[in-house]
Amino acid sequence: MRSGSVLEQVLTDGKFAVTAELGPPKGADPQVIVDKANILKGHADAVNITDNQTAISRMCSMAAAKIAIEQGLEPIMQMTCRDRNRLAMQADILGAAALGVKNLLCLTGDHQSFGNHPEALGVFDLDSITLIRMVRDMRDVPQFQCGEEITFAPKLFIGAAANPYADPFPFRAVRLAKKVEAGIDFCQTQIIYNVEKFEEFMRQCRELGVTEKCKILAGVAPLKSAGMAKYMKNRVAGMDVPDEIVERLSAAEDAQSEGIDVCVEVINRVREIDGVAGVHVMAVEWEAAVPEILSRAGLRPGSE
Amino acid sequence: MITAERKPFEQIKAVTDQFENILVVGCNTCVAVCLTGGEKEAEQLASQLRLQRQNDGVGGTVETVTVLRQCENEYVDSVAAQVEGKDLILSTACSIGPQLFADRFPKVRVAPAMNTNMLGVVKQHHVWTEYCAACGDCGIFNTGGICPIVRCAKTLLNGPCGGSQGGRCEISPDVPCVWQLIYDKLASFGLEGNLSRIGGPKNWSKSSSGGPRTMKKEGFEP
Amino acid sequence: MERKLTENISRSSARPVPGDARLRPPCEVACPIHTDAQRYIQLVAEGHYDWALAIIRETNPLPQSIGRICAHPCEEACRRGGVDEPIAICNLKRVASDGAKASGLGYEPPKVEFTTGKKVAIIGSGPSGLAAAHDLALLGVQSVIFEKQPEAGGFLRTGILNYRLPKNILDEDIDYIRGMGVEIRTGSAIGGEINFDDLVQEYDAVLIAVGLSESRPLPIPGADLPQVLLAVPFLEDVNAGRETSGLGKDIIVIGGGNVAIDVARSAKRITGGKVTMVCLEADHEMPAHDWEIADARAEGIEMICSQGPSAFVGDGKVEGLQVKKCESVFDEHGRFSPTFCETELSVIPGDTVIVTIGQMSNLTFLTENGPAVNERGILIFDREQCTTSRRGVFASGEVVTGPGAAVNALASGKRAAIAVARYLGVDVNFSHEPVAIGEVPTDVKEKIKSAPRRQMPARDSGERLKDFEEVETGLGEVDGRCEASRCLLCGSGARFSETKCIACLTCVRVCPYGAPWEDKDGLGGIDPDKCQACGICFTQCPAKAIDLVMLSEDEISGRIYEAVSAGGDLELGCWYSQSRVAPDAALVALPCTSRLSVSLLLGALEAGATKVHVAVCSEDDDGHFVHGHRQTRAAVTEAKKLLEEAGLDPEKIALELVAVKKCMQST
Repeated sequence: MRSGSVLEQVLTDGKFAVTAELGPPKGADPQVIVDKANILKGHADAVNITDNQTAISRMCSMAAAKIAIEQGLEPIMQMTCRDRNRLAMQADILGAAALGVKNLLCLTGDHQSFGNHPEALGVFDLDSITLIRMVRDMRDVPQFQCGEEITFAPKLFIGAAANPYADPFPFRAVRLAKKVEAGIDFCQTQIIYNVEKFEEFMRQCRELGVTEKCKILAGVAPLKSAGMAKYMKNRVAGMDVPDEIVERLSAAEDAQSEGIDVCVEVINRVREIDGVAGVHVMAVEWEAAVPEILSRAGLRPGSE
Repeated sequence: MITAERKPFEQIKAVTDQFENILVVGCNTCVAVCLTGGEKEAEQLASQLRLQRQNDGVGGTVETVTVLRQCENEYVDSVAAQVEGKDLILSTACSIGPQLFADRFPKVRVAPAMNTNMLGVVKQHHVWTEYCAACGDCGIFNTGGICPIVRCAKTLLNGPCGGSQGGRCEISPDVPCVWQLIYDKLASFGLEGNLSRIGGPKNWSKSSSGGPRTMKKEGFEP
Repeated sequence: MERKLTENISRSSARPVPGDARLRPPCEVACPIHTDAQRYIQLVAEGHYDWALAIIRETNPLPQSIGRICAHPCEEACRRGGVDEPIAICNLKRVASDGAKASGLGYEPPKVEFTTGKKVAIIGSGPSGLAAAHDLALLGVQSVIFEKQPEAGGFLRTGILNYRLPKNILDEDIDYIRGMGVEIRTGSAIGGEINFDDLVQEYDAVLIAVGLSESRPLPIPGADLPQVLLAVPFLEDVNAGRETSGLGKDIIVIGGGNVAIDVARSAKRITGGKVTMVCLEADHEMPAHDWEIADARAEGIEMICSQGPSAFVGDGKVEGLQVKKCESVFDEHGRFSPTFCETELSVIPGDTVIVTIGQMSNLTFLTENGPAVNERGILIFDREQCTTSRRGVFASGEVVTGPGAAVNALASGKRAAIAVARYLGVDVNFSHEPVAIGEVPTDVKEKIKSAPRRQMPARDSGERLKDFEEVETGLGEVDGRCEASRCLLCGSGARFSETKCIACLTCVRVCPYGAPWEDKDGLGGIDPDKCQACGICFTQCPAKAIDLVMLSEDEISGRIYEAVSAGGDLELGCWYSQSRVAPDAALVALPCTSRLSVSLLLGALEAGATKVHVAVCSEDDDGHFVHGHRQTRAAVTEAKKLLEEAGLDPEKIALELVAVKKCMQST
């Protein structure tokens, strides 16, 4: 065991892992985290605590992770390269580990122009892959990025994101393989709607041996409306929402219910793909839908 | 001007050794003015490479040509005849040059011979100093005509910081504290009181932080 | 058919190719035949005498002779004269020809093909006729020179004495022209057996170049006394080695020109007696060259100035010359119009008088068919076209220009050659008249090291009076090269390309002489008046917008390539140094090694040099050029660095200290 995290245990045991997402609030109220935690508790093996998601300033992921831990959840703390240089990131990694964080998801981060501070300086001192290597070295060598020794290493289960739908498609699995080489233990994918393409991506990952070294959790998310489906199809970079799904939501009387149906269907299909080790449910600001989705998909956390 | 300095020869050689027929392309604009990549330097580099390759038993040819500006399609295109038959274009321009060559001659490998370092001024013959960060949002009127973005090691907009000592920056006694200069300059106009106003924060969206920039002359068809 | 005047002359690879409208050094501009003196001086400095001679021959068909007797207007114009003393340009011409002769080079006449099939008759084998024949030959036109004297050379042979111009030297120059296929028929006077009209008939053109072959008499009382001699017959006799009858022991020479000096010096040699020159002009006005006057005085000849002859005194034989005080020689317009004080008479005692007051031409061979002469008996002549009133008949030399220096007669003959050739249908490419660059500005003068002019060694005045052997013995190699090194290389430095200039100001920053300036548009330019041709700006210009007029980058690399093509060591040497830094290495000498760019240094190794030795003077010497040594050191340091980076032994390029020649140091 590298980290001793629940997620690591579940995946190591070969159980189908379930993770969900918990977005920190745009305020200092810890109760928001507590409330969301109560919804998700018992439904997921671990929850992702996002880091200034879509470049919008929020409560920091480390603090929110700590609150989640207090609520009995296991956090997967996200960390982006956009807002901190390597000094700050190493400091936060050590601090997070000290506070009991055991899973770290390493991301480059969305560009600041998408968020609420488009005038901010984008730091991007490291990118996701150099961050992964840095964290791996902090845990395993252990040393700082500069080569200096770390006296008490952070024990972390290291993750990354992967998007099967970005271009060039033939390079996506290769890029994930680079992250594996850099040191990840698991990855969570972009939200899957186009399952066929994801199947091909997974085939390539298997060919490259990625699935042997890295647990892949397929990303899923319920669509709340036809409008949201269209928006994600047309406006969100790296999303692939097939027309038939947009049509299903448009035609449905109860779009939310239809959206959950679609999500469940996707979960059921991706579970069948060789190498998929779990699902990551991203019900952004719709945490309440998670229990229903998981129950309809017949999924209970592997930890239970 | 844009200043650039030649990469260590070891690095250049590591690339050029892989290729047989090489064209060293000089640029007679900024890098010529900063005495590192103009026609003269390009010829020197070509000569140096020929000697090294002869000594190391590397075959092939090293020729050289110089264009007025490697940042213009027309000038880059003008050396098509010399590029013909070459395996590598080694540019002594700032990084714009090799990129534009790569753009215009998609079938030929391109390598930079230079490291582009700054937008600078000639401080004295053979010495250049950085003056501009190309931040896209110039505020030097408020700082006595002196840029703190690039000339303050911390990019402060409200300096000097606690590291300013005797007009020197904390990073090195060789570096003047630009905020001391700004303070002195404004004081010379009796305007040091302006510095009690809070400066910034900076809008970085107009800098490279905002993503790759394109400039258009408004009102004219491209 | 277009031909260039000089295309048959083998050009050295070092010849610069100046732009048409280029400024030229004032020596070249002042020279009537525009000899590229600077170029041959530079080649003399380097010891390339044969190349130097080739440059001289491009414009001068009588290099050896003119190198001894030239009036050298170039030296009056020499910009070094404004710094200390002018370059001994004429003497260096002799160094070049002497040096070339010693190495057996430069005396083989070019093979000339008379492709035009035209034939020209030239009357007179003086400098003008010879020059015309020479240049016509180069233009593919054959000529036959008719000379009434038994030997060719005109006044160079009959009027100039052996001690100034040895006959064998003149012979060699003339033989060279003969070798080009020019026929010279001596003892062939026109008007006798050969009728002028027949000549005009037989030949495609006729050039009258008869010079001024007769002395002007002095029609004053007593002129018919037997001891009143005329200069020309006297000099003819002396030059022909004939007995000069009627000379006494107290000889008066009337006249103050160069011929009068020759007459006086000859008389001194023949008689060993007293020789006195009497002239109208005041001491400072004497028309003879200062150096001629000095030489004559050194030989004991007395000068009586400001006296006009009024009668030859004597009864049956000359006893003296009556003279009257000459108050002024020229009127307010500078015209010859002497005024005398008729009351201030005196008699200069003497037993012989030689009249040397001027010469005139003999045109008695002309027929009633022309060409026409004016009321004073002078040919009617078009200066531009060199034509006379008769079609196909041209004229050149002193017969039409009046008396002057031999080099002026050459110029006239050369102009006539072009005129005749054009008349015969040859398309001659004639270059523009050059324009001289300005004086050395005062601030630059201060930066030029003073160096003494090398004096022409001469035989002791006591010795030389005993014979007619050559007085001047030649500068010789060491002094010749020292003297040549004094040349300021006017206008031969930076050649600036406006189109390549990137206005970086590097030249402005590095020039020790302040020659580059910035004009109102921010573009550079280089002031040729200030430029000293050190080459520093050339080596540093990042855009290669500056090259050097003389010894350009291509020329230097060409020489390097030639020198090391077979491998071995190379010395990149210094003109101004006494010694070699690598005596066994092939040498390429430069005015200053500050002209060496890093590329040239690396290029020498690329060309095959085993090792490159770069001469540099110690900082204390500071060499010929301000900061020259600094540039050399910087270039060598940089080149060594590049070699080391490239994995080559940096010691393949070595700086070697040299001492600057003693003669180049301040007096």
